[in-house]
Amino acid sequence: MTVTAHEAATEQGTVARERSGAGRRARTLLVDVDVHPLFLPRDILPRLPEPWRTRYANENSGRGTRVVRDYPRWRNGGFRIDAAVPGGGPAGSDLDLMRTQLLAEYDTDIAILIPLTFGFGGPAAYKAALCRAINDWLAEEWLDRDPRLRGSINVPFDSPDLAVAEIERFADDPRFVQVMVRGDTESEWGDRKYWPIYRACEAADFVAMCHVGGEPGNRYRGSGAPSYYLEQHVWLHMPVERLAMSLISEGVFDEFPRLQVALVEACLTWSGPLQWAMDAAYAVAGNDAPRLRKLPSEYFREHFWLSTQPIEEPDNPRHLAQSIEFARMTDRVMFSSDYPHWDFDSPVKALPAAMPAEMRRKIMGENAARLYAARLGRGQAG
Amino acid sequence: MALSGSGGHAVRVGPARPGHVSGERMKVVVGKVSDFKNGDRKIIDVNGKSIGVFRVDDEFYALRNRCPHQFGPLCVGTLAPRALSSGPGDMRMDSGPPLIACPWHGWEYDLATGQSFMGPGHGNAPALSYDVNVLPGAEIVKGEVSQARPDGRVPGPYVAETIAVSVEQDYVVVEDSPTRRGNEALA
Repeated sequence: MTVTAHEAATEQGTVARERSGAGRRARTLLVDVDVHPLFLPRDILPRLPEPWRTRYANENSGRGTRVVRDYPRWRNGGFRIDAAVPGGGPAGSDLDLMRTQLLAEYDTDIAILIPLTFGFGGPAAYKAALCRAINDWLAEEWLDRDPRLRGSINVPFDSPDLAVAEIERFADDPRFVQVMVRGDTESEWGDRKYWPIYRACEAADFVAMCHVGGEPGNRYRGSGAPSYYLEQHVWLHMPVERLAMSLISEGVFDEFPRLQVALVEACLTWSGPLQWAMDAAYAVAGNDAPRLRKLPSEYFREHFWLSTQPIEEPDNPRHLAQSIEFARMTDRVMFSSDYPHWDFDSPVKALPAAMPAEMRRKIMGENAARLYAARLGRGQAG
Repeated sequence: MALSGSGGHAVRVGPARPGHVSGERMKVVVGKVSDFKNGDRKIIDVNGKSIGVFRVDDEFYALRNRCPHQFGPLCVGTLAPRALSSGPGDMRMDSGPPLIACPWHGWEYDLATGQSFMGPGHGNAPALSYDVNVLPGAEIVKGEVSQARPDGRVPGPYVAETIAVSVEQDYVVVEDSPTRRGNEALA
């Protein structure tokens, strides 16, 4: 039998392909907690008042023109080649393409959008205006256009009064589920000056979410920038380990017992050893951290959540599930894809086949549904 | 398969999973040879599979458009020849089949055999190994996926699925069997 093939039809100019998510058999909840929409200067400029519009234009800022010189990304500028927008436009800048490649491809139930901003410079009022413009762009151009999307609020973290004002602006807005904790805060995250931000998060049921990567200089509390992207790519857990220890030790969770913190794109397998090490130190030096009222690991497992991507791929895939069990984090790990970055993890292939079915179900959606339940519930009520 | 001198001669390079040979095989005309300039590729649908057909110099290659690592659209990726070196100061490009890099994570595969040489020696992957048959001549060359190659390359964990491609007269033809859907299972 011989037939003539037609070149695969192009949808919106993209190369058609097999749906890699096709065959997702059991209908399990799929919540993707790390998806990156990209704003361009054209999105921000009309939403900025003067004098900040002129300043922003002069900066020629926005991620579309950002160049990383510390550690050039070796692969496609950091993005999936096939995620470039047909007809021009960088990956992540088009909702329709994201729908095709992510939401439809994998039948995603909820995707949480994280607009990364990398460096913010300038006076506090300028940073606040930029955050406001980014949040409005996200709400109007993305969240309003697809009911499966939820948003993260950018705030000028080192100006807590302005940050709180921005959080309160969205407190009753069901489109947003979390507040972005920056990786490049000027003080340690547990510092009391940031407590008004955590208070505002707790009051509105917002998750405090930290996604590091790309901050200026990439120094992350260390003694210099890495030379290679390989280093930067695998050490994203290091700053958030500091974040966790700082929040626990400074008593943030004693003050705000309902506050929940998501550490996104920061790997998984470190979380067990960190808990063991903190508890061992507490046993002999607990009186050195007088605010602690229980084991550090208890705070960790009551307040922190992790996301999967970039998922560790040990030689023995069973070791990944074991590391989650050892850390007792089975109920607090959430699937994330990191679309449209080059190291995107596929919902159908990222978790190893050796992972127990119950753990898989929790990670793919149930855990995130529980973490974000209060905010998602507001959406249903509204 | 080679163009030169083959005329209407059908040469097929394709997958043959031992014990998994299906009955009906379907030949699908991809287009005229003249539709392919050097370096061109076409992505076609065959039996619900997406297949990439490539022309590199005077050779045609076909691969399943699905990376075994995380099912990325492999055939949309970048083609590049292998670099060879015997030591510092010596660098040249291999003239053989190029490598194709997945547009997601960059796993690279030999375009002719589907073999990846990244992650050498890591045998943990869910790789299905496919034999490689070269016809006519009934001469079968079995893929040696567990040993270092003469050029010192050591196979990695993944093998992309190769598809039979041939030139019959002036037409490029791929061959596939509707019943063989290998590796469809979820992770």
